[in-house]
Amino acid sequence: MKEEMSKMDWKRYRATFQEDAVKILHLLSLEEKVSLMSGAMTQAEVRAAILKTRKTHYNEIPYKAGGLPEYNIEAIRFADGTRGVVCGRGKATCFPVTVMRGASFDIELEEKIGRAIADEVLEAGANLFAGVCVNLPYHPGWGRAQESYGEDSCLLGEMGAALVRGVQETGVIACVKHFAFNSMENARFDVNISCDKRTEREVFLPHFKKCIDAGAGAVMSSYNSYLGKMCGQNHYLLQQVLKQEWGFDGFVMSDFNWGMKDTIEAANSGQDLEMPNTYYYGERLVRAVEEGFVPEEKIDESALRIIRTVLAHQNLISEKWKGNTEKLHADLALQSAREGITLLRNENHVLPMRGEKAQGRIAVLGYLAERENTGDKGSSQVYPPYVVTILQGIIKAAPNAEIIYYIGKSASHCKRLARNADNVIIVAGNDYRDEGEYVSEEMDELYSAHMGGDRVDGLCLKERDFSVITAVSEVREDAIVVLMGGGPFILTDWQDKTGAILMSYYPGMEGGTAVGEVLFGSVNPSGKLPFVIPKKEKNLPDIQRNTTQQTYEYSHGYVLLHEKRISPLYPFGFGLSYTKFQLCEVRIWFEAVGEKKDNIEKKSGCKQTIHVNSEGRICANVRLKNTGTDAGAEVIQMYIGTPGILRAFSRVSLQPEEEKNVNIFCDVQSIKKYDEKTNSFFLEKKTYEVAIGTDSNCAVTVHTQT
Amino acid sequence: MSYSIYENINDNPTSLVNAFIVPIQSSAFHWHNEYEMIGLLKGEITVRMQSELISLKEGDILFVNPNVIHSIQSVEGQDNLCMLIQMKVNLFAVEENEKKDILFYLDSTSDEVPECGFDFFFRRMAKILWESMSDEKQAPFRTRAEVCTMIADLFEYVVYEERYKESKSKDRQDQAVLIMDYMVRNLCEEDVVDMACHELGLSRKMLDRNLKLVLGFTGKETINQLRIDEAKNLLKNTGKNMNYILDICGFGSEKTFYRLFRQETGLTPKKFREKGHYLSSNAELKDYLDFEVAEAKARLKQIIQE
Repeated sequence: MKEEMSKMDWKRYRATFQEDAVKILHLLSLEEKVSLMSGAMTQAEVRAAILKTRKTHYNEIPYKAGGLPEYNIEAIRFADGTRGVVCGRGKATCFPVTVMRGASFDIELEEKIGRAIADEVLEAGANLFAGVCVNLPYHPGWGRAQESYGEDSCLLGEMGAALVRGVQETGVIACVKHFAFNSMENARFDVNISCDKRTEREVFLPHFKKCIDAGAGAVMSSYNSYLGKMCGQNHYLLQQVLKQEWGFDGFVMSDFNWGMKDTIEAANSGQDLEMPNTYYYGERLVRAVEEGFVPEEKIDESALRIIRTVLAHQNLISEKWKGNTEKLHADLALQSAREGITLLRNENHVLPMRGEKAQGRIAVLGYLAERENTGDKGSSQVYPPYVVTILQGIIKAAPNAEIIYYIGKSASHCKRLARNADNVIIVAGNDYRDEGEYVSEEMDELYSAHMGGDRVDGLCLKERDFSVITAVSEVREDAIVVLMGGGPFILTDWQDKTGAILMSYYPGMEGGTAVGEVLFGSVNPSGKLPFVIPKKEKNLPDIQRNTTQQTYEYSHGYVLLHEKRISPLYPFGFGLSYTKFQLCEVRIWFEAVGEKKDNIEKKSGCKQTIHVNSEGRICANVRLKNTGTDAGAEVIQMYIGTPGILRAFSRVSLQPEEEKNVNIFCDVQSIKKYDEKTNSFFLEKKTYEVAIGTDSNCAVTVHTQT
Repeated sequence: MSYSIYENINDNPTSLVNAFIVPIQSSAFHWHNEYEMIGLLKGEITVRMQSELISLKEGDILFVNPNVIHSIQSVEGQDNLCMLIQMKVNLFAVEENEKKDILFYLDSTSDEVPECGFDFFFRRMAKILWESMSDEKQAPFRTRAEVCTMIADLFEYVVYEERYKESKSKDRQDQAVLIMDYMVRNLCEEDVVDMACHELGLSRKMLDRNLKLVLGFTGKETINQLRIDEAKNLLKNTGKNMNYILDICGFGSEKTFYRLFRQETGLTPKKFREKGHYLSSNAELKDYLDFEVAEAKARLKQIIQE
C-alpha cells in the first residue's frame, strides 16, 4: 500500500493519558464508574425514533453515554452513519454508500471523506462516529452489504483503516463495527455463526485488525452470536482476540438495545459500554459487583478504557478543531461518486454520448431515475440538504438534448419511446425497500409490508425493471442500463440485449451529477467491482436467510468461483474505461525487513520465481501507460496464491499518452496461514503464484517460493 | 385564437379549472396552455391532433396536452354533446417553476388502456361536470377537489412522460405553435407564409415539413384553413361585410375567397351566413344552453348512477 500515508500511533498517543485516567479512576465510586459504562438515552426515545413515530428521526441528536463533568470527563456523544453523519436534518453530506467508495479503490479519497465526516460529526455536537463498517458479506444478498466496502478482506481492511485515519484526524473517535461475523440481516438477532479457525483469522477478522492497527478508539459488537455466544458478550472475541491478542486499547460498545442480554456475562466478557440506554448495566451491574458476580477490576478496566479514550480524543478535538471552515464536502461526495461508478459493458462505444449523441432525443426509462435513491433508510440514513437524482443529472449533463422521462409501466409505451428516441437510458435496480437494515412488519407502524432486509428474492432485477429492459430490447439492442444497488445483480438473462451497463450503486447526494457526467463523457469512469458478478446465483455460497445456524466456509465470492473453476460474468476488480491502458514490464521481488533493493532486474510477463521468507514484503513494479485519448484511472491489483486472493492494490491516474511506474507491496504477514494448533500465523513452505493485473482474472503471473 | 363557441363562453383566465358541457360545431386549429379533457356524452366528433384524425363517439374520452395544436369537427347532420374540462398546468406541478412538460396518454380509441380502464375516467368526468353545474357556494371548490382527485388518478393509472428541454432546443410542436401564432396575428397579409419563414428563420421547405409532421398540412393548406375558419366566425358572429372579411382574412381577391370557401364548405359565404344556426347574441346563447343543460344533466345522472 501507499507508504507515504501519515500514520499517527494512536495507541502510544492515548497511552500518554493513562496517568491522568488512572488518577481520575481512583477518585470514582463504583456507581460513578458504572455510570460511565452505559448510554443516557431512554429506551422509549430511541425505540420511537427507530420506529419513526416521532418527529425527530433516529439519532437526530447525538446519543450520549457516560460523562462525569465534575471530573472533566465529557460524555461520549454518538453519531451513527456509514454514508455520512446521521445527526441533524438537511445539513449532513450524503456520500456514496460504502460499497461504492470501495469501488473507487481510492484510499486517499476515503481518508479525506473520513476527515469531512469528522468535521460534520463535530458540527453536530458529537465526538464519536460509528460509521466504520467492515463486515465481510459472505453472501452478497446481505441486506446491509451496501454499508461495507465489498467482498474482499484486503479492500475492506485498507479502506476501513483509511476511514479510521481520516475520522480520527480531528480527534473524533472512530467506532468500527459490527464485531464480528455480521452479514446476515433478517436473522441478525438470532443467528449463530460458526466457522473454522482458519476462516475466522484469514477471512473474517483481518480487516477488523487493520482498523484497530490504524488506531480506532472504539468497536461496536454485533447482534449475532459466534460459536454459541452473543458477540456482545463473547469473551473470546472481545477479551481474547480484540483486547489481548490485538492489543486494542479503546472501548467496546454494544449494538443498540438488543446487543447484550446478561449483565454478568457481558461485563465479564469485556463489554465496556451498554448502548444507547441503561438497562443491563447501571444498578444491575453495581449489584452484580457487590454480590461478587463481577470482579471490580473488570469495572475498573472498562472505566479506564473509556476515560483514557475520551480524554485523549477530547484533548485533540479542542486542540485541532477550529470549526468547519471548508465547505467542500459536496465536492468530495461528487468526486467519490465519479470514481466509484463502474462501467461493465460498452458495446460499439455506445458510451460516452458526446457531440451529436448529446443533442438528440433521449428517452430515460425506469422508476428509479427520479427517486432520491441514496440507499438504506435504517440506522445509516443521512438527511442531506438535497439529492441530485439520476434524471436531474442527465438533464444537467445534456443541456442540448430533449429528454423524455417515462416511469416504464406500460411496455408498449416504452417501445414507442424507444423507437422514437436517438438514445435510451434505463435506470434499474433496488432501493431501501429491497435491501437494507431490516424493519419487520411488526416493528414498522408506517408500512404494511416489511422494509429492507436481505435480498430474499434473489439477486435478479425485479419484474418492474426487467419488463422495461425486455420491452426496449425488442425495439433496439443499444440501450444503456444504469444499475442502482448495494451489491451484484445477475445480468446473464438480459445483458446481451443492451448496449452498455453502468453500475452506480447508491451514489449519494451528488450521484445523479456524476452519472450524468459519465454518460455524456465529461468524466471517464474508473470504478472497479468490489464484488464478483457471477453468471448464476447458485455459483455463490449456500445461505439460509431465516435460520439460527449458519456456517461460513473459507471461500466466498470471487475466490469461491476461482476454486470451483467457474468463470464469472464479471470478475472482482473489473471495470471499463473510455481510454485504454497498457500494463507492461512487470517486476516482482521480495524485500526482507530492513532491506532495500535498488537494482531490480527487469523481467516482464513470463513466469519467474522469487524467494520469500517470513519477515518482509512482496513488491511489484509495473509500467502503466494510457494509450487512449481520455485521461483516466486504473487500479493495479496484486493477487497471491491459487486461487489468487487480493493482497495489494493501487489506483493510478494518467493523462493520455502518460505512463507511470507503479509500485505495490504486500506484507508477507497477509499471506500467512493460520495454524489452529499453535494459534499463530506461519508461512507455508510452498510455491505461491503472484499475479498482477486489473481484475481478479489477472494475466501476468510470477511464482514465489518459500 | 379560438372560434369554437365553447371557448367563447368559457373564458375565465384566472380559474384553475373550467368544466362545461357544449355541443361543438367546429373548432379550428388552436392550442392552449391548459390540459384539456374531452368526453363525448352524445354524438360524434373528429379531432385532428398531431397529424392524426381521432374519431370520438359516445362514451369516448381524449386527453389533450398543453400547447398541442388540434382542431375539432362535428359530424355532418349529427348533434353532439361534449364534456370539456380544462385544467391549468400548475395543478399538475408539486413545486412552482418545474421546468418540465408532463404529457399524458389517454385516448379511449387507442389500445393504451389505463390500469383502471377508460370508463373509470369517463365517470370521473361526469362527476366533475355534475358538481360544476350546481350553483351552490361550495360547487367550485367541490369541482376543483374532484379535478385534483382525477389528476392523482391520471398520475397513478395513466401512461405519462415528462419532457425536459432547454429553450434553445425547440421541438417540432413548439415550432409549429410559433408558426401558427405568427400566421394568426398576420392573417390579413397575403404572403403571410413567406413572412413567417422570414420571421422564424426557416426555409419554406422546412416550414412545410414541420407543419406536415405536426398538423398533416402544408403551410399553404394551413393558412387557407385558418382564413376560412376566421371568415366563418366573422360571417356567423358579426355583421361585417364581405369585403371587410376577405381583407381581414387575407384572401387577396374576392375570387379566391369564394373559391376556397366553396371548396371547404360547399356553400358561398352569403349562403353560409344565411343558413347558419350559429349564435349571434348572448340572449340566444343562453336559451340554447338551457335546452342542452336539461339533457346534459339527465345524461350525467345516468352515467354517475351506472
